[in-house]
Amino acid sequence: MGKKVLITDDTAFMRMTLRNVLEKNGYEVVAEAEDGFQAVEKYQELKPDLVTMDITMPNMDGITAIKKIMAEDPQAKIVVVSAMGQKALVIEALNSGAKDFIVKPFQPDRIVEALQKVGG
Amino acid sequence: MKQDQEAAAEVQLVTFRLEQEEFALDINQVREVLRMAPVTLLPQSAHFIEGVINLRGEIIPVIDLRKRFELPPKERDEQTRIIIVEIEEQKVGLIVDLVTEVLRLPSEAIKPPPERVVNVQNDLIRGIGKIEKRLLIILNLTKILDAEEKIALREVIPGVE
Amino acid sequence: MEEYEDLFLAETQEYLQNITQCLLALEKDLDDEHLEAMFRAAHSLKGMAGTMGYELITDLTHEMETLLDKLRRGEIALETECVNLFLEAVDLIQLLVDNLHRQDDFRPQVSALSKKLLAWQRVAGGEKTPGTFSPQQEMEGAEKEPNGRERDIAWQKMLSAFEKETLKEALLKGEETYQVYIRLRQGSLLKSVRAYMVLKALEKEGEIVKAWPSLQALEEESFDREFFLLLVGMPRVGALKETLEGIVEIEKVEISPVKLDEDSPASVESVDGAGLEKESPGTLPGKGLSPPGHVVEKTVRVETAKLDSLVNLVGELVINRTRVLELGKMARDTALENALEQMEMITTELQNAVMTLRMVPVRQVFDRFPRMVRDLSLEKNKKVELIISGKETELDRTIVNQMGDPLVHLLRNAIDHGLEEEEERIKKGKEPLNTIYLRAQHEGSHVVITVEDDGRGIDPEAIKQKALVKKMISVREAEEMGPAEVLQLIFQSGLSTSREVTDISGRGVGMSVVKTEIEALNGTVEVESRPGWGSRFILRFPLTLAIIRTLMVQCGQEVYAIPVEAIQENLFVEPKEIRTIRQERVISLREEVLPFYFLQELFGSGSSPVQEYYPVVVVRAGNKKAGLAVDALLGQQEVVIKSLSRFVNELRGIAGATVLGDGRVTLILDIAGLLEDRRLNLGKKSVDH
Repeated sequence: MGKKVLITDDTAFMRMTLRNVLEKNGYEVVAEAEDGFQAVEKYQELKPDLVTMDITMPNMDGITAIKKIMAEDPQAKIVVVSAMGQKALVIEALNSGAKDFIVKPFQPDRIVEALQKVGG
Repeated sequence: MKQDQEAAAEVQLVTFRLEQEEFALDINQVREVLRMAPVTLLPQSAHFIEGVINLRGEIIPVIDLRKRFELPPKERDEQTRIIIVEIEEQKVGLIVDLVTEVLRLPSEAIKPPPERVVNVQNDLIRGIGKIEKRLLIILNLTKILDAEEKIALREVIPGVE
Repeated sequence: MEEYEDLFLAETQEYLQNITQCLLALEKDLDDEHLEAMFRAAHSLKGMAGTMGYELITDLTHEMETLLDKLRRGEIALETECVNLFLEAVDLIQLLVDNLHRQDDFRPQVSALSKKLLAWQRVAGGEKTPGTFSPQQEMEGAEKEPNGRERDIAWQKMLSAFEKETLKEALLKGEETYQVYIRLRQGSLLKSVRAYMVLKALEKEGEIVKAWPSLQALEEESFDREFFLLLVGMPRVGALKETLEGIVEIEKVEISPVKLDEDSPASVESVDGAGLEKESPGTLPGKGLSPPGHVVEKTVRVETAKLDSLVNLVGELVINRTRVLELGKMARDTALENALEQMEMITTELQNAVMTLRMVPVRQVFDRFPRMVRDLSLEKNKKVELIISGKETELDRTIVNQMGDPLVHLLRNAIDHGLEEEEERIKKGKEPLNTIYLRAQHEGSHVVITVEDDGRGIDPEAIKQKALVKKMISVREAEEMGPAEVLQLIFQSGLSTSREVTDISGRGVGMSVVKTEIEALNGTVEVESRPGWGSRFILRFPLTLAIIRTLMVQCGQEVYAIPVEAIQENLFVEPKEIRTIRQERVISLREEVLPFYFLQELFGSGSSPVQEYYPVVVVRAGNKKAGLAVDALLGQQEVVIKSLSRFVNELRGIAGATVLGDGRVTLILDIAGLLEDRRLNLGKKSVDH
């Protein structure tokens, strides 16, 4: 059984791309969240092994969501998926508890490698 | 150790004269004795500071002990000397009328200063040394430089009227 | 070839200094003249290095030259990033030159830098992406796996005195030093954040003393994909390696212990302060400064030990002279006495001359600050102008050599915490540009060095609160302390006023270290501040061995020396030109009315004889001026300042004394003290006499 992943991104296209790549590589995508609120909710409900987190999203941004999830579960493994040029935000996300980050647009093998490293 | 015992047994002193009195300093505090040298005046310094001299490139303040003890001034002559002493790692020169000798004195020959003197002038006098009929006033150097302290010699010398 | 080495070294220094100056000028204003001069310097450097067979320097200068040529032809614009690159190259060449016999140690740095220079040249060829090198571009061609030897950085050559000190302390605590090598995957994005993650992981295990490329470069992503860090501490190496390898996109991690050579006791210092560590490989906790880009004097280098022994020997000679003179007098031989007198004068001058050997201008330290301030202000994105004055002020070599670190710290502090962003300044109605003043000047018996900024200042209330929280002062003490007193608390250990951790300031070496270092040189430091308007640090160093130029004046029986720097001009004044206003004498000098004194009266040694003309020295200190009448002007002379004994050093108006050629002692006036004093009181005192 592959690791359970929660995908968080506000664009449907990015969620789909991520799902395809992950499923092809043996991960089980248990849910998709469109914003920070949903991510926090789904995390509590499903307790996935890994979370991918976009930073800029409506309603609740990724950093707030990371903080909330980490407060709930300090063991949570969250990987930030950021756009280019978000250096300060990425650093803030890392300081908030995200384990690592990857930069969009990514190559499929990169995201897999990243999740492997973080997921152990 | 050996030195300590010796020190306990006897004291080596440099003796000098001011007016009619004979004074003494512990030889350990004396660096050298010079003839009178040209002194550069120091404006606005304490009245008893004569000025500064050049001792092999080192600049050393010089005190006129007569002025310090409020004795009348005396013409400098062939016998006038500057005794270079070291106080708290600083060299200072003392102008005296005449340096008499270097002598050893058994410790028991040194008596503490009389009570009334101690009261008047705290630590200025370390003790009174007696050799036969001579009376040596052994000075404590640290107080000499303290400008706050007024020292009138007639008040401190026993037997001087 | 060896015999040409010295010449090569000296000339290289000049060229490097030249290039740096040109760069800084070009950055402000791109003009052909400086571009041309810089091109020539790089070209000459290349030629020399080629002749000497220094392949790495040749490579680097070649790339510089090519890039400069394109700049010259206007194919590319000179951007800050490009200036940085050139400066980096200058630094690297300096390192190579400092380590002529171990140049190979720097091979990885040279190849990385050459690549960057090459990338800029391509920009000219129409390719975009200037500073942030696209990965494909940097790493094209076969991937070269450098061997271990090539990967070792010659850290000890790159460490500043401060960093060496940090290391030394750590080593004393039994900590160890490691080199951490990191290589990112090809094509990594947001590399600076990767570097950040590495730094964060390392900081949990120890202290990062140094990075190559610099931390600044890492932050700005001006590196390709490799970097090296020097870590000190007691890291769990295995766990650390695992953590680092666990970071996404990190391809290679190597952690290896580094042996930094111990300081060799007989460290060699040169008269001009230039670092030379050719003979003794590595000086870890060295005292000397060897900043890159220092000025090279046309001087002979002498070992400090030789100089000190010379000073001692002359001292002995002078002592012996006195004895010989005594003997001469006893012989009652006029010819002998004359000869001895001559000898006495010569030995005195010899003594003075030897003393001056120990004196060096503060320029040696000050000259490296424009570059440092420039780099830092870019890093912090705060615009600043550094205004330096008094570079030629001379101080004892020991003091000059050792005051660099505290000054670096104060300047960094000013930039980190003092300076403001442009917006903030405009809002406050200040000039948009921050200004830092660095001044050196003689003041009385001291050399005073001030580091002043016009930034946000220090808030005494914040310091007080902090000191209270840290229990450094009691509530009662806090109530009783005035703001000026509170400010001095910043020099106590344990009180750091900023939370920000930067490259140096904030890394455990706070203001208390600055104070300790200054006090070790018999100096003092004070701070003044106007919250919102800036701070000023005032460093005072003793002048025990300092030499100043003075004007000798006759005054009654005495001769006094007036420091030339306190003199505005000399004039002659007729008695009728002296007027009395409110019981004070004044003279008119052009538009000004100046207080007028007879020096002799100020010093209470009687009044001057009435003369047809009085020679008057117009002196000034700060904004105060006065005319001092003397009996005669005797001419200028350089004198060695000696301090008066502490039993008499409370004298107002006297800076110290000096011994003239004839053995006489002459007092040196402290004009600032004299003018600051209650002058009327002085005058009255003389009346009382």
